[in-house]
Amino acid sequence: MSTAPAMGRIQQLLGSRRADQRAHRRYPIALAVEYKLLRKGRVERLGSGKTVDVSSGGACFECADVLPREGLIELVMKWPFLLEGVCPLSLVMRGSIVRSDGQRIAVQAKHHEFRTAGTRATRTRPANDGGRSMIP
Amino acid sequence: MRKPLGPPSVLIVDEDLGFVGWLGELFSEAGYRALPALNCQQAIALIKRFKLDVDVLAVNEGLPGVPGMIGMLRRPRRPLKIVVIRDHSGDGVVTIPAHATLERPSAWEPISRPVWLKKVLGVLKQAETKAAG
Repeated sequence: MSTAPAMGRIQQLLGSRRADQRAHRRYPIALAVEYKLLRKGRVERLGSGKTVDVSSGGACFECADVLPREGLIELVMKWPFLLEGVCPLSLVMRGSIVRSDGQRIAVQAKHHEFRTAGTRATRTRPANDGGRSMIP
Repeated sequence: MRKPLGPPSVLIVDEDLGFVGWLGELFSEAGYRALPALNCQQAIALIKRFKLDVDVLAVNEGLPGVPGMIGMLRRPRRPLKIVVIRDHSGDGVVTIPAHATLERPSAWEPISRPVWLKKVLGVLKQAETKAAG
C-alpha cells in the first residue's frame, strides 16, 4: 500500500501548524498569573507564577511548581491597572498544557477573555463565577 | 476644586491578544494608563461601565464597529487621538481619521522592547502634533 496519501496528510498538518504558529505571534510580556489545573471539571491544584510570553494562541509561564506535561488548565493573568482605581482587570485563558519543561509551562488556548472583578459589576452574577463578570 | 486628571489613558482595541498585552506594557512605560479590549463591543462596554475618558485610541481599523466606537469616544473639549493598528502587509489606505499609524510586526521579525518603546513614543508624539494642528 502506498504511503503517499499519509505523507501528504502529515505535510498538510505540519504546514497548517506552521501557519498557525505564524498566525499567533508570541510577545514577551511579564504578567502575574494564577493557574488552576483542572480535572473532570474540578480544580485539582492552584498556584501562581509569571508569564514569559503571550499570544492569541496561548501563553508560556514560569512557576515554582513542577506541573504535569499535559492536562487542562486555566490561567488568570493580572492586567497591571485597576479600572477607575478600584476594579481589577484580568485576562482569563483556558486551554491545555502542551509542554512542561521543569517550571516553564506552555499552554495552548482554547478560549480567552478579559474579565473585570469585584466592586461595580453591572450584571447579575452566577453563583459559581467567583464574583467576576465578562466584558461585556 | 478641579479633580486631578491623573495619567492619560489609552484604549487598545485589537483581536491579537499578545499584541494588546505588548502595547499595554509599552504604553504603560510611556506613562499612560492602558486599557485593553479584544473588540469594539468589549471596548464600548468597558467605557460605559466605568465612564472612562480616553485620550488615545489605538485600534485595528479592520474590526467591526470602529466608526461607531470613535463617535462614542469623542468629547467636546478633549481631542481624541487615534492611532491605527495595521498589519505589516496591509495596503496604504487608512479608512478612518487617524493621527498616526502603528504597524504590527511580522511573524518572524525580532521585537525588542527599547526599539518598540521608541516607536510607541514616536507614534504618541505624532498623534499629539497632528491632533493639535
